Amino acid sequence: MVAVIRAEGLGHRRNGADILQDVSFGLPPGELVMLVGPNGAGKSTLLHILAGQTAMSAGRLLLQEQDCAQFSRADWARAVTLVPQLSSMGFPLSAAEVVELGGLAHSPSLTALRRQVRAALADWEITYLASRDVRLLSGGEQQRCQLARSWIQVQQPDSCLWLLDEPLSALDLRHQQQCMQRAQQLTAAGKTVVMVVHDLNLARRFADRVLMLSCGRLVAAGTAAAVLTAEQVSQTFMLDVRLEGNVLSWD
Amino acid sequence: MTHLLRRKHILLLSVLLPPQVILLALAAGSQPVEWLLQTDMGQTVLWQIRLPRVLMAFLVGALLAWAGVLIQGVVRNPLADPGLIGVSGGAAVGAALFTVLISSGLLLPLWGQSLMAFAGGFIALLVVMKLGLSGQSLQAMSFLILAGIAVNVLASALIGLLSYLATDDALRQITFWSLGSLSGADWYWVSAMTVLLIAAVLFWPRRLRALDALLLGEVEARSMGVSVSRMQWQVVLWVALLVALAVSASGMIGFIGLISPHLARLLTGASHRRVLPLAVVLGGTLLVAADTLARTLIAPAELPIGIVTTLVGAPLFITLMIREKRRLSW
Repeated sequence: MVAVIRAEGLGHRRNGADILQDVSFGLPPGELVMLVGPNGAGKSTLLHILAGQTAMSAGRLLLQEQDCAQFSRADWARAVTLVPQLSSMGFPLSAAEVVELGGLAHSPSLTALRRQVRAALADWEITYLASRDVRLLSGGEQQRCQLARSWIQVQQPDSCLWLLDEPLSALDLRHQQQCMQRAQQLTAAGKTVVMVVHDLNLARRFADRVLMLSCGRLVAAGTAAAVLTAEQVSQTFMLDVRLEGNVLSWD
Repeated sequence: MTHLLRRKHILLLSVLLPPQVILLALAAGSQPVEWLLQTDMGQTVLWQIRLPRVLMAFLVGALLAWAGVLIQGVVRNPLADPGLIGVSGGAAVGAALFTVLISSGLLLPLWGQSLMAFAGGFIALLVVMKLGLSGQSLQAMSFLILAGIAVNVLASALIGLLSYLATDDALRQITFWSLGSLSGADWYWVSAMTVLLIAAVLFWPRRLRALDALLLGEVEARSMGVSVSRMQWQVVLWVALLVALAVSASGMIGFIGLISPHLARLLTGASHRRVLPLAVVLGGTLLVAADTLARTLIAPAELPIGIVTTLVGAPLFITLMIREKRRLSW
């Protein structure tokens, strides 16, 4: 199998502490992968290593079976799109200007970019916000702007991996559902989506594959049904969890 | 957010506004325009004194505004200004050191002064960026401003020390730098600044989208393929160059690098492709206006230009901050 992205013995040390240790996996094209684990397990760090943002201190990372060292920053951005957690901004860019930056990595023609911006604004239901100052939008609206920006980047033909760090945290129910549909739309097109989430039932419902991290180690990987068992979840999250029907629940 | 100015308006403004302002400034002075145009003396004053001075005012304003736009974008802090964060101070120390060396009998070429100003500004900027770019963004903002204050204090102490070592002549020069003045204008400075401005026009326009991306955050910019550290180095080098030339020609002129980008953003939003040209034209225009005031208000004497820009700029800056605070609080 040619993996879209493959990690071999990934490790990350910061200030003498192991944040990640010996993490290995390969992700095939067209899968929706969810990264779960307790706070501080190393989920965001792993996602940032996959995005080429954070250097690893051990192991190898391969994109389309090619060592990541062979890629320039610009080449990596053409293949991999990251949506980081929301950060604040001090400058009055409009929502449309933020979304338009999604074209930076691939620099499509001006007319193509205009069309893509219109489509992305519509796809994320933020057309009515297009000319507004992003600093004045609500958290959920800002999140949708960032998602729409990355949406332009990830939909380009040579883009193959969409990485999302807790994309649902600020979204309401309708837009959470919409975000999941967009992710499925991409996997149907053969791209791979990796998402950090906290809602394990959401993971059971949508994920083709779940990677569970705990204390910097990959403790379980496989289908949602195989990884998110009552026993595994109880042990990793230190909470008494049971499976009722198809839903994890607790008191 | 409806922008007052679109891109074509800005182009139009950039072409039309500077010649108007420059012509007005050329005509302003203690003698009537006929004297300038019709007497030999007037012709000499016009071509050798007034024209280079007005052009240099415009160029210094443009260079400082350019530096302001770049530094604000790369540290993602609209409060950054070459003066506030200590770059001008560092450049002034370099220039003052050059003057003291010259007056102590060393033979150095004139461009050595700009070179030392560049070295001073570059070192100051490195220190400030090192402190201001690490860590969480909110922390980085206050670190940047604090580091700027520290560098400024150190720069003024060094300038004070140098003025003790200086001869009378050098001392006058050093005072000139700390207050700012355009009275040293000549065609040498005008041509040097024109060359640098043309170089900047060739270098920056295709990098402005990447600078926009950087406004969203370093992680975001990298995720869009921007080499953030390379961009930071480019900005540090260019800001040091722009400020060094402006400072060695005219001393420390505060607030132009801060106010012009601010005004530009009020008129046209934050996209660098609109902000940069507008801020540069505004910076040049503002400084020509300020210099015209400085040399006509108490004629035949003249006010140091740095005092004029600060007297106008500081209250304006405080007003902008109050406005911004109101707008963003809810």
